Amino acid sequence: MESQVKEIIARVLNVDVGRITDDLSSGEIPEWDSVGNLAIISTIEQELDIEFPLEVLFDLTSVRSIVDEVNRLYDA
Amino acid sequence: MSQLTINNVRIAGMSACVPATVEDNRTLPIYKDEAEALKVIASTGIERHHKVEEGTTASDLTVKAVEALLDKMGWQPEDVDCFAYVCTSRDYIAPQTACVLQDRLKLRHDCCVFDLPFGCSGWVYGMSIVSSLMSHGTLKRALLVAAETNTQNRNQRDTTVRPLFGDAATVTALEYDPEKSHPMNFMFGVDGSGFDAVWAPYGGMRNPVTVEALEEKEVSPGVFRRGVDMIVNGMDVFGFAIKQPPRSLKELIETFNIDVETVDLLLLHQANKFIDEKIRKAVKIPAEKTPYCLEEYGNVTSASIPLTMVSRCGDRLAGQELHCVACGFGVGLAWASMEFYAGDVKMVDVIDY
Repeated sequence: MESQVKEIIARVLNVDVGRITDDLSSGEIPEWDSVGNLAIISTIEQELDIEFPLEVLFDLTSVRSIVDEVNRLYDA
Repeated sequence: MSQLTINNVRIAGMSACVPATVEDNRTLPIYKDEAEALKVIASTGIERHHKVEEGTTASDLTVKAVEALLDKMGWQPEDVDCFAYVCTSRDYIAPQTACVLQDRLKLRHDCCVFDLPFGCSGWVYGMSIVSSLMSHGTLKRALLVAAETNTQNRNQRDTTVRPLFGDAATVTALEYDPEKSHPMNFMFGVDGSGFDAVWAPYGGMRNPVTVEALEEKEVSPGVFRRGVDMIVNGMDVFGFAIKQPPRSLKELIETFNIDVETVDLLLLHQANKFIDEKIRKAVKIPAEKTPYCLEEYGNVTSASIPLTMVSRCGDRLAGQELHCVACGFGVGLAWASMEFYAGDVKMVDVIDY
């Protein structure tokens, strides 16, 4: 799942997947701005057929937090 | 919680005017390629917006929308007892634009006119203020304008705002009518600690216009601004928008014992479709009861709820009575929710300027 999430993030931001490291966060590269962040979240919801709960949305601003939340939703 | 119930006032008519010029987000010159544009469209739901030509102001759009509505209503300008102008892109620092419009529209000299400089929550706040004044029974007919020309005070080389915001003017006619009206219910909220989430740093008295404030600078790759331009701090707004509007709507529903099953229309400020859908799901109202117009007009701040009503619900509002819930949220940071009923409303189709 982690590699799938990273692939989506790279594709949405139009950057090489090698730049999508575990500790990368919104704002650290120009492509990952607020619009990019929304695009990442909405694309992951659509492609992985999941729905992030409202209360965690604001915290989904890093590769690690997104991967963790996707895993949590799949495990639930 | 600040709450308010107003009796004896109903929505009698609505109109809207938008600039004829349309900017399509797919072909904006600010993007590297179409893929970048499509990413923005996919994440916001906004495909295009209407934009005024240089020299046209929100008050110009307003005059056209008011004239069309008065004609539809069969009202004369002298019939209007109260005129409220919700707008931040005002014609002048002073006087109030409502005063200028009193003369342009030939409203009476004893008409109660005033500006309300709200942003995205402005239509709901305006409804509460004007309806409250009218509920006493001496002001019988009012016009509530919610208008904005966002493209004039946002830098056209700022990729964070240009694709999102558009221009529009809307007019809501209100009538004192104890026979046909239902109570309107309101909840209010504000968090001024977020004043700089959506703001223009220069141009007011705190930071007057200077030569430096008029110089355009590249503040980050692809984002050019002057000190007088509006800034939208996307992450701050996102955090606010997913937290306060759902909370406000839930408070409204709980406080006024609203059965959401009976709601016909959920009218949300048209900020961003992804965020609005999260809000809709939080209050458990079906998608088919939640109209959108942002794909066509973008975010038109205070005009967005009434523009949705005019452009997407005109036929329904002209017919049988609908149970409506609305929420406006944004600049301030301020928000407000309301419950109201509307039917037999005289609706004018959206007019091009």
